[in-house]
Amino acid sequence: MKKTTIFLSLMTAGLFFAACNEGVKEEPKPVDIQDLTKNQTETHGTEVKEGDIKLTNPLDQAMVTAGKATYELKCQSCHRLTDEKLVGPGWAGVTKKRQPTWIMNMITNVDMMLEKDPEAQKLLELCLVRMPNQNINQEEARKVIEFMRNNDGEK
Amino acid sequence: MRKINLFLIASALLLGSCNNNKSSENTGSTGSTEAPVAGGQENVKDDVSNPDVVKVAVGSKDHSTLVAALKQAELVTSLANAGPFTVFAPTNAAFDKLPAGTVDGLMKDDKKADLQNILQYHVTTSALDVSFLTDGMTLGMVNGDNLTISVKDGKVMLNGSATIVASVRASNGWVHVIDGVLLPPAKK
Amino acid sequence: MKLSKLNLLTLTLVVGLISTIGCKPKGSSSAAGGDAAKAYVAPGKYDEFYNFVSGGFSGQMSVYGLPSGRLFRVIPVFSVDPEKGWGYSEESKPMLNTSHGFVPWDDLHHISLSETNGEHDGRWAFGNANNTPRIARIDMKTFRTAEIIEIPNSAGNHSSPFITENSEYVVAGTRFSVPMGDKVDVPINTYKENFKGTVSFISVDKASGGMKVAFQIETPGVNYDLARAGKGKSHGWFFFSCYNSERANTLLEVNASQKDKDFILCVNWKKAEEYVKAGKGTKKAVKYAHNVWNESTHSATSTIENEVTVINAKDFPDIVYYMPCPKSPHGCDTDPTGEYIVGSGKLAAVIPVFSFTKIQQAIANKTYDGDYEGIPVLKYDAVLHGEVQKPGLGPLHTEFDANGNAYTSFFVSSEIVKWNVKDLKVLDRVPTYYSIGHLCVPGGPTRKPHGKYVIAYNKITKDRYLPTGPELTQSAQLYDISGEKMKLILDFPTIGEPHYAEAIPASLVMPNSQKIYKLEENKSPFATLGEGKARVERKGNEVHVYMTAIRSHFNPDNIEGVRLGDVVYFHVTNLEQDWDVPHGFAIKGASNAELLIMPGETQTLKWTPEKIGVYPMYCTDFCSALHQEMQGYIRVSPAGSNVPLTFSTGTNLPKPTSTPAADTMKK
Repeated sequence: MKKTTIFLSLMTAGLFFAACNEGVKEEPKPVDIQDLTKNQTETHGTEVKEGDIKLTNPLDQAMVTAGKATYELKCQSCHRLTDEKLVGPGWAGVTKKRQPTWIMNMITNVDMMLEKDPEAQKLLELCLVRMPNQNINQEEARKVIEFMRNNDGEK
Repeated sequence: MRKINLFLIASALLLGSCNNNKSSENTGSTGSTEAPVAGGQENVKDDVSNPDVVKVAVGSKDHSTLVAALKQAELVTSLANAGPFTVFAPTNAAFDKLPAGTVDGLMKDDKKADLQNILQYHVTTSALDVSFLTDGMTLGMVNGDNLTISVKDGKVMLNGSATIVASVRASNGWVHVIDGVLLPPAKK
Repeated sequence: MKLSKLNLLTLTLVVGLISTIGCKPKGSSSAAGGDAAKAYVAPGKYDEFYNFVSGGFSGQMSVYGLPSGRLFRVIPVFSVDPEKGWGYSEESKPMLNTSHGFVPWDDLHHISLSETNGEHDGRWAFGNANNTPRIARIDMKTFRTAEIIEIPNSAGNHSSPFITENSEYVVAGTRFSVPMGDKVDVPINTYKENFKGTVSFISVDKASGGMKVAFQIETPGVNYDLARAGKGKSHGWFFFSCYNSERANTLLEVNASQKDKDFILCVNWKKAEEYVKAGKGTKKAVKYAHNVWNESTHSATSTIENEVTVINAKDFPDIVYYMPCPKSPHGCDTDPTGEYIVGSGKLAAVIPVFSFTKIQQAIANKTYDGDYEGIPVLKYDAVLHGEVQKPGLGPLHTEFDANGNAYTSFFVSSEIVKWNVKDLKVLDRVPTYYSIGHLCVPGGPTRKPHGKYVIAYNKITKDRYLPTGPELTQSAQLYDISGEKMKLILDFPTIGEPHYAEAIPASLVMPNSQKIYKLEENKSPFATLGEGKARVERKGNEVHVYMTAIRSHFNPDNIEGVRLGDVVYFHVTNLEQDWDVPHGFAIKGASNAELLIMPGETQTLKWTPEKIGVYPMYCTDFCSALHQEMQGYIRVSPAGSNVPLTFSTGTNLPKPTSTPAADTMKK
């Protein structure tokens, strides 16, 4: 089946091609520069799996402070700390509603989540803006979670 | 591989459906630029701009020998370029003053290099108004040799052998009509 | 495997179809049709080479892909670019500062890519300003102009910015000789006594790329045209072509073509460097600007330098020699081995090829042909390797492949001629459409040319494209040189006027290409790092708006309390950290331009409102589905008005004094 299609397209191409032209030579295979991008370091994280994150109490206050700084720099434009939706949903109660892995992946792997995760897709329908990749790595995202837990009243 | 061959046959059968517009064109199946190239800027269709030095010569009845020689020497494309050029253009009468058979001899394919050398000795790459040509000046000509200018009684002579009789401004330089053919100095 | 091969073939055929369906009238075009597939890069695929092309009178540098000829970017260099805010944003204005003040335009002719061991290293591209002499360094990580240095004691910086094989120096030779020092107000007809030429050596810092005018060599007042560094065995030498050895100052068209031979200046720069190190140079008072872009503050600084070290060629007999070269030499190119130097006399009927070995012998044996203004002139026959006979009319420039072949452009006969460097035999010629100037072989000026293609940069296109009124596009033409015969495979228009260009494998550049500026590393004094820090401050009649931009709003987006007579500075920080998400910023009636702010970057637009009213502002770079919603207002009240200074986003009330974040942290 496939072969026939190719042959047919060859013939069609041939019909037009012949209108003005000359022979065809086989091309040496060019260097695949496309490959180069694959070796570039990811600015996103790789997927965080269940069990990769351990939550402990009491909260690590240094992590809360660092998470807050990241929030103010990169998240605050769209997320309030109340339950008010601004561009994205407000953060109040987020750690009660979502698993930490889900939150981590949303921060570090937003493209993957919007492609695969039904909950993330629902939020996109609601907010109409794709959450941008804010170049936050896993370590930083973990601190953001600590800050979110603090925001949700954990000790 | 077999399929490609099939395709080639198909294309061969259909080849040439466009070749009827210009008989001189070669749209052969070699894919090579060896095919005669249909010239350069001399073929640009433009009836509005001033004529270039080639068109000035072509437009003059008195320069048919020169035009034929320029074509034979493959200099038409070059002289249709931006230049700028100053062309010293011998009239037909000037060519006629050469010993009998000289021009015919130079028009033969095996004498192309000699013809090119002579014609390039009539061209320099700057646009020189006749007033720029002063007594004792030398001009480096396109063939690599020098030409000497002399001015006597307001008449400009080249190498003491040809006189400028008229001058025409062209879009890419000057054509100075001369009454003799300039011969490059013999090689040392 | 078989299948993919077939697909490839189909593709080739389709391309053939596309390019030949027109049945172009010209023989040349139809002959090229079957080879056009070689220039085809399928959608979603990358080109094999980057082509950095000078923009000529546009003052910019353009970047194309090869073999497709697709234009990727026009890098603003010496000319303002309202599209990118270059020369309009407060941060970029200092980049165009000179000893003459702010200069918004120049003429960029030549490109040099940085080298290590004579090979491209993919770090920087250099470009020259021909009019107000300067050299710019472009960072190939960001494709931005990182540094511009002015060249003192120079005019018409044409033979520039050619580079040595380890990027030790880029050079700058004067096309216009000029009077120098204290005596500059002189009659023009005293040219021969008072006008001098210089060749300047600008050092390039190995790590940072930072440039410095290391030293200048003062020479007789000729016109330096082009130049090339020696390489390999001739590393340590530099060769500058020059014309007007007649030293005419009027009607050069005639008066600078009187002599049969002009010169190539051979400079032993290693020796000159030693003299300078030993303190033998003379410090001269000059003024020139040195402008540097700082990647962490996202802004430029301009420093005026006051001194330069000059060595007079006459006083140091063993650093410079003139080598005769027929008829107003233009191109001056060294082959990959460094042994051969090719001179191209614009008006010459031959191409002379000089031998570095013979130059060294002639110098050792003092085989001179007298001197020129006190500088020894080498004997032509003693240094000549040979001449290419009757190669064409109007030779200009030569590039090389890795197989010992040279490719010379001919303006008058409008062609590229391929010839063998050793035996000087002409091997092939192809026409260009029309009137070629420079040409480029990928890696052509290096010790290891990549070959594959030669690109012609043409001055005239006349009937080659659809006409666009009196001014037509200039063009590049791509020829496949992988076989014995050169084959035209692509014709593409260019921006400005392309002069010299270099091409470099994508693999040397692409992996380093920067994607974003990290917010954490943003050290701009005007940065707003986090939306909670957005604010408006008044300082006398200056109003500073510290604004953030992120999909899809500005903060603040409602501002009141600006009064006529105020000068407003919008310091906009793009809070995005995602590749390819710049935000633009424009405000109605602004007499300058827009800002285009990269992710993580801060840029400033100065605005002086002239009338009272409410002015809209908006994002100019389509950023998201709600891009059209990314807008705001600023109210301008009469001078002396008592409307308080307020600002907000997302509320009709003035912004609260403490942020919700701060509230939370208190408990």
